[in-house]
Amino acid sequence: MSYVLVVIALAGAWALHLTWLAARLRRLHARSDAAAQALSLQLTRRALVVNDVATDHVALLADSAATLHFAVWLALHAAADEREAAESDLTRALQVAVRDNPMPAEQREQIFKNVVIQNRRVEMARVLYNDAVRDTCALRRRWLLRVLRLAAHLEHPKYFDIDTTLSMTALTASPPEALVTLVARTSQA
Amino acid sequence: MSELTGSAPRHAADERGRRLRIGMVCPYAFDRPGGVQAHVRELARTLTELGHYVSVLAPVDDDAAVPECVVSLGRTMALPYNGSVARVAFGPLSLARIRKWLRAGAFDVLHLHEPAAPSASMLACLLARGPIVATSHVAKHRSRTVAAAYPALQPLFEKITARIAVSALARQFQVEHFDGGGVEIPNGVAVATFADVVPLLGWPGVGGAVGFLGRLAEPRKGFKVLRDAFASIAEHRPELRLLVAGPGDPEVALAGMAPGVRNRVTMLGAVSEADKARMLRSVDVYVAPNIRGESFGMVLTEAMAAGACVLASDLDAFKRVLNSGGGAQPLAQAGELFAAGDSADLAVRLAALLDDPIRREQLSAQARAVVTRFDWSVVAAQVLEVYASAIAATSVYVEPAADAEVSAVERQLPTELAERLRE
Repeated sequence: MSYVLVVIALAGAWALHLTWLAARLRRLHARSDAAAQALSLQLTRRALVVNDVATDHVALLADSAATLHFAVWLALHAAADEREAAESDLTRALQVAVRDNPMPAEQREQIFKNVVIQNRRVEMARVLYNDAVRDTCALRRRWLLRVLRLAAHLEHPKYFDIDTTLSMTALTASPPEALVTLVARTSQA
Repeated sequence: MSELTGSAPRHAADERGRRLRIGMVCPYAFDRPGGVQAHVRELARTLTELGHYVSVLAPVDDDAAVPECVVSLGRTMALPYNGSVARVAFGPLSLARIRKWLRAGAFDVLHLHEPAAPSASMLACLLARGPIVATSHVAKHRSRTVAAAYPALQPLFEKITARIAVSALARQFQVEHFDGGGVEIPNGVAVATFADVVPLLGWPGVGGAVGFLGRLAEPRKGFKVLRDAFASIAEHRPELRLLVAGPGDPEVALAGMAPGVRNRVTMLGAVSEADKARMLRSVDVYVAPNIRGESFGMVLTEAMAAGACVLASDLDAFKRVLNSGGGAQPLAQAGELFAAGDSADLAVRLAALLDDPIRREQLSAQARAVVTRFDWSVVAAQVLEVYASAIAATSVYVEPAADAEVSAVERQLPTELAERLRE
């Protein structure tokens, strides 16, 4: 009789533990997903601000303005699996625009002020998202979850790694092959 | 003291520039001196000045001594943490009070300080949902306790939306223990309170004055290095004086000094915040001879705010503060460096600075320019950016897998464009 009770108690504890793990798993995926949405929104904001700068200063930025417009277009229309590359290209297009258009420091800061702010927020959103992904993946790696396939119905989140280096001072910061990927993508398009 | 009861209307703070309701948890007794407490007090004050609502939940031993925005969590008990004894509130009664505070506060964002300490911060993390920001102040390389406790605490830490570290070392601690990167935001300094003070009566005087601040008995603070350097250059400078502020036994600290040199050392003992500012204004050269273990260099930013000419040991933390131009226009170095622990090198550089009033004036001016980057108003703005990002990254989103096929981009883009069109 007492054996039966012990078995029932153990089974109950086991079920509670599983429920708790499943709840954690769901909560972490919700966190990753919300962070992904925030990141996506912030990337879009940045692209739109860059678009504004390129439009407002089309005479000053000359060729760079056209490149920026195109990089924005690519970033906004990138498929999910191409977005990292497209957003990094947008950053590089910005680096090149800063490098190729020498102007007084104050004027440059004035023109790119909003871009710098939005870029910083992109960087922060990216950190928050990647932290969420890291925590989610850490739980998904637990053997119990893997064996019971508790996470099988939840999409595995992926890290989002893009270049967000944007310096208003270091004119030499741009890599020499800055536009290689952009140009390669253009020829495909 | 504000009451735990009573609820305030919550407003959607999903956009930047809104007034936020911020709940902040300080793990250590608020009416006792300490770096974390000072940080929380100044941050809360600055955020309130910026128009946000801040409620600080903290253990309090003496109710009379805390500002109005603080909600008391009751008395503390002593728990060993991080190599010393921390006074924290921890237990079922605290748990009930925290729950009540969270419910009444209706916060947009919850800001926990030092969540890895067994304290109110940890309990609040256990109870709360929604955007949680956590600031780590710890500055040491690795803690066995935290490393051992981590697997058990992971369910708690995975609720944290955004992590802040107050220094590169604190950030490293986070990376090592929690895998999380986080954002590095420096400790702030109330520049105005240090800038507008008068020197102590009779200082710095004509013969030159050197200053030191910190615990005398603590070898890491490097008082011995400065003492030896001072003794060697004081022989040739009959009117040079040394002003020392900080707790410690003068007899022990000055043992072995020649009497003629020794009577030119003035010991202030432990000083108040106001006297600290005046002391920093009273010297020609402020020396920070720390040998190691300084995570951020708070003392340097305070000296810089007071307009002191700084001569510091070449620790990474000090270098970062003094060379922290960065950003748009790299500013010149705001102080001089010497080899840490090397009193001969210190003596040479100190003598050179004492003989060069123009250089001292330059360094002082640069220090005042650089330190504005560490003013609480600037630091609080950075913290607000993190709050906004954390709030943006935490929406109630129930079933993530249902429409996984529609990419997040496609879902978001029309909304965003529509928003823009409406503007």
